[in-house]
Amino acid sequence: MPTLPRLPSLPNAEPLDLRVAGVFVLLTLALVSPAVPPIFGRTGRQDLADIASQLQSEVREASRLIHDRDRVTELYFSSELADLGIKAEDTRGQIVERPYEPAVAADRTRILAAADELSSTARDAADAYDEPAVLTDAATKLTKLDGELGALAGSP
Amino acid sequence: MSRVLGLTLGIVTALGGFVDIGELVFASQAGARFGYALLWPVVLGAATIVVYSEMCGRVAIVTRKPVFTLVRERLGYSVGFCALVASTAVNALTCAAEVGGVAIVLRLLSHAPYGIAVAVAIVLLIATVSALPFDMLERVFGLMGLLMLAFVAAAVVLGIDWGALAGGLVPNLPATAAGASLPSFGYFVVGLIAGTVMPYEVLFYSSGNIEEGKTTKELLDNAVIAVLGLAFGSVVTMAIIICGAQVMGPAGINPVQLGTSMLGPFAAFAIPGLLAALVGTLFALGGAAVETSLAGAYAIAQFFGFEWGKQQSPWSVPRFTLCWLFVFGAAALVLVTGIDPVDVTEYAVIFSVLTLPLTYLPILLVARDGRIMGEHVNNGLQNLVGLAFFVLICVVAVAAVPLMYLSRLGQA
Repeated sequence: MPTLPRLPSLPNAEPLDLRVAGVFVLLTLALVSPAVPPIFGRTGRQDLADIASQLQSEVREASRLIHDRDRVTELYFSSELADLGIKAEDTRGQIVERPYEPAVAADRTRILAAADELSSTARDAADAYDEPAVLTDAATKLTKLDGELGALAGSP
Repeated sequence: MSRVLGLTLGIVTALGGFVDIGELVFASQAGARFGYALLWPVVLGAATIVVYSEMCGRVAIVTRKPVFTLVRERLGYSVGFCALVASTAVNALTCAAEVGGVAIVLRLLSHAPYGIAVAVAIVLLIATVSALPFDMLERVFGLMGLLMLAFVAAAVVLGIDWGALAGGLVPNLPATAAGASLPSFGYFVVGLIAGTVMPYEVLFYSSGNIEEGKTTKELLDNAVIAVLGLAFGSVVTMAIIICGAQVMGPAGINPVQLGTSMLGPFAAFAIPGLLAALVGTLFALGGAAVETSLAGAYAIAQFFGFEWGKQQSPWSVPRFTLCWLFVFGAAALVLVTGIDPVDVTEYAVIFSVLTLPLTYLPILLVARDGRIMGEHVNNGLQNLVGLAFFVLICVVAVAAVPLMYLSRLGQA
């Protein structure tokens, strides 16, 4: 069993010029600063429309997977649908944690319910590769969700 | 004959290792959102990386000095150290994203829980890097990554709109990018270019030329491999955009998961296409994880001047070995937080903002310095093109973060 030789000190280390390091840190902060307001901002109408649009996209992918079940492996089918379910649950968690503008409370509640429904439907479908009845039921639910989310996102 | 074989291997290796997780998801989204309109940033990014890969490869062959030795010599210790810190952060974050991507593909192939897939991915990658010398690493991941050509075949079978393709190769602003979508379009332009010119690409390429012991007799081979390998690689990225435009856009799907990017191959070829794309992606992302970990170790070793090299046994270059293990360790820590690997690529872009110009500038400065490069110095055209692409890199670096937030990560 070979043994590691002891590491000597770094051959070419020099003292760091703190003024250069300071400028570098300031530049980094300046470039990253546009990220700060969105993190602390409250959920507004546009944020909810974006979330609804993304959830609608995930609903459509889940529908596509169920429709094209014969063209994919069972392992891919189960994993991808389960991941879509997890993602919807994560989205729901993020909405719940973030403060929101009072005017969007009703839409927010509808989106939370839609994320919940997508999460459970995708997870149920993930375990039902060989159960056409379950998949038909899931496809029906997803079609309904697609319409609801489309209305919330303001898209067709 | 052996030279032709070597050239061919170099080209297919560069081709197979071109695409990483950020490009895969980003290109799919670009196609789904804006159709063929975002092909030109891929061409621009590929042209930039071709020019700078050839340049840093030539500099490494002529001077035996890789990128971060040049960074320190040209920018001084303190500026170079700041560039090294940012570069190491970018490499660790990118490595985390790639390892996470490997884990997602393992999960899609086996339905294993994601946490277990991450652990398996880390162990397999560390074992592979430990066991294989540089040239074998390059060939295994590069050759298996050729299965990414499933995306090219899928784009052809799904039916390429050749008129739209020709239009997309010219800088344009489509009607779908009007109004609120304009920042998103800009974000995708910048993201597609930035994803192609990530610093680890030149760190790995330049160090690789020294690892392989190339001499000035192989400068032409260096140029051919850089031009053809990376140009063919960009064809795969364009095919992913086309698959997004053909399959996901019309279905109203905006892919944010790695698995969604497989819709094109399975729509075209059903299960064989899906499996080829998944295995190709597994090796392409695995190769990118290896490249980023080694690029991180190369940068640290070259900056501080200690022994490095993947052609040597891990025991004979202990500090270099510790450095690439450190990058994998940092990547594992990032993934343990449960963050989505695709989101990690966004953070890598933030950290790359400062390191991009500081990595590319010393390459240009040395390549145009006749006292160092002698007869192999840049000619006038190479200087002009190099300068133009350096300006492009600076613009991308400055615009990336504001566009990221103006466009709400491209969702506006």
